[in-house]
Amino acid sequence: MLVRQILAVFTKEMRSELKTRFALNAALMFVLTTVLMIAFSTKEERLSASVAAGLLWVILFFSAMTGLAKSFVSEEERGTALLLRLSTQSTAVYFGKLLYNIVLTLVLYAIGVLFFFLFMAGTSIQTHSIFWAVFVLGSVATAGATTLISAIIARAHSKNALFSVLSFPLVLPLVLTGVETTTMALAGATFESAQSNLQLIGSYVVVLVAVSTMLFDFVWKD
Amino acid sequence: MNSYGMLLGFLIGILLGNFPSVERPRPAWWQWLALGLPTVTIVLALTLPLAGTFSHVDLKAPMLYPEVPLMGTIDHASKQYDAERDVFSVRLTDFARQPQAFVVEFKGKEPARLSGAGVIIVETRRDTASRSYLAGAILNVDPFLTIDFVPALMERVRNIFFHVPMSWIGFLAYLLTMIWSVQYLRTRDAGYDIKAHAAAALGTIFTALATLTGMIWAKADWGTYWNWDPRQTTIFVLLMIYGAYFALRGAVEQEDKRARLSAVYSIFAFVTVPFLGFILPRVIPGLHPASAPDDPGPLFGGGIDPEILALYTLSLFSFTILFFWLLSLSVRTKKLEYRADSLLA
Repeated sequence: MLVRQILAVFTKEMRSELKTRFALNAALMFVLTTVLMIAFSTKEERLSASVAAGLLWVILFFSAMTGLAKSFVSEEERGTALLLRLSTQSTAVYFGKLLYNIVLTLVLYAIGVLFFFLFMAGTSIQTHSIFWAVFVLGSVATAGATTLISAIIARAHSKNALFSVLSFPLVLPLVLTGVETTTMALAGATFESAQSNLQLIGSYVVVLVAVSTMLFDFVWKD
Repeated sequence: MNSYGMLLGFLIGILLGNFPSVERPRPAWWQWLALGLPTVTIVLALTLPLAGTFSHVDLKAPMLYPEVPLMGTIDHASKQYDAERDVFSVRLTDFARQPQAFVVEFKGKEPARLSGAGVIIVETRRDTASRSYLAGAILNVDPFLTIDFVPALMERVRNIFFHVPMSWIGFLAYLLTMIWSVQYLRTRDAGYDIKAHAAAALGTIFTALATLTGMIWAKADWGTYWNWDPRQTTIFVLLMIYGAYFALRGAVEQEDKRARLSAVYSIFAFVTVPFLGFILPRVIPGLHPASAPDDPGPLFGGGIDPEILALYTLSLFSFTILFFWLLSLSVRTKKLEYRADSLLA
């Protein structure tokens, strides 16, 4: 029952996104502009692994911020929040939105990574296992940290500015570890050496989602 | 005094700080205590003389310090004046755990301050050629209390009595905000929201002070004001969480909704604390003490001198009490405002 409700919320989100393609289009343009600006300003340079990893995460973080803010705000704007609240269990709403946000973040990050390596000729992934592990874990963690925040800001004024302000402290532990691990992937470290960092991100996701599940009711219900 | 004593001092400070409760006015003796102790701490931390030993003089690190303030007991029988070299010499016993005694040489005749003194603190260095201890100015005679000399820190050791308590209390304030937010969500009693808000506001001040004192210390010891040491990152994120908390409160007008949303946020943001505070500094190497995985740091590792630990405990205790007084004042003012608002509405 719960699983079916979760999937129903997820399908609804996917359909409405595919209909408007708001988040995707906005993020696509954002990623394209940022990557081109970075590529132009660094075309004379050969970027070190840590600089490239830092730039990549700046692009990924802000593209996620443009895409993820909307997930609850759109419900309030269209006036569908009340209906959703009445028809669906709040746990199902949270996990449905989380699932959708994870998929959205994976797509956004994939676009970001694709353009980044397309235009930054000097940089390449040395250890694929580390890179893709941190890519997937990072997407899940970004979605896990921001789903509850987007529910909070949907109920406040000045929503979009507030979203990145509230999200940044929660995403920062992830970004710090993510940058470090991506540096290892670009510099060609072994998978074993990055394992503790990956475990750190993994445990962070678990704690974030667990706490979100406990707190979501207080935000969602009046 | 060991690290358990320090934690006990902190605990007693928290308990006494809460007496008779955050919402009630404090008795007169309590107020005198909360004013007097921080004053005594500040005066002691800033004025107590540093006292080194012969081992510190022998370390000879001219890059760090040219002369050591050596503290020693005078052996009056050993006083000698060598007219030929115009040198006055006396034997001093230092205050190390295994005391050492050596002859120290002054230029000229016996200094006047030495005659009736038992213990002196004197600028000392070791001459490389003659291997003798040369004394400079007498800094202090029969000192009442002293702070142990720490070779890498010199006078900057005094910052430990301000920087470290401020950051601990900044963290305590955030912990209180989180606990009271949980209480608010359980009971929906507006009093808890007021307390959480007041603790967050005071916590911001204490965290900002910890950052500021830390930056000054970092400039002196590490060369730059900001180095992105893991603990600097942590306190930076803590400040950002406080900032976000107030931004959120500013963006919601309805009172119970504001209380509910900000409570949820402060609990959610607390998830980062164990990661940033305890895990990350041990994974990523840093400049602070206790940055390596097996290094508990000077406060818990027992490497610190008992005098410094005692004064640190006093400082932690008195600033904790002061924090709770400010918190109580702030909570009571906010409660009155809240009541006035609901009467007008």
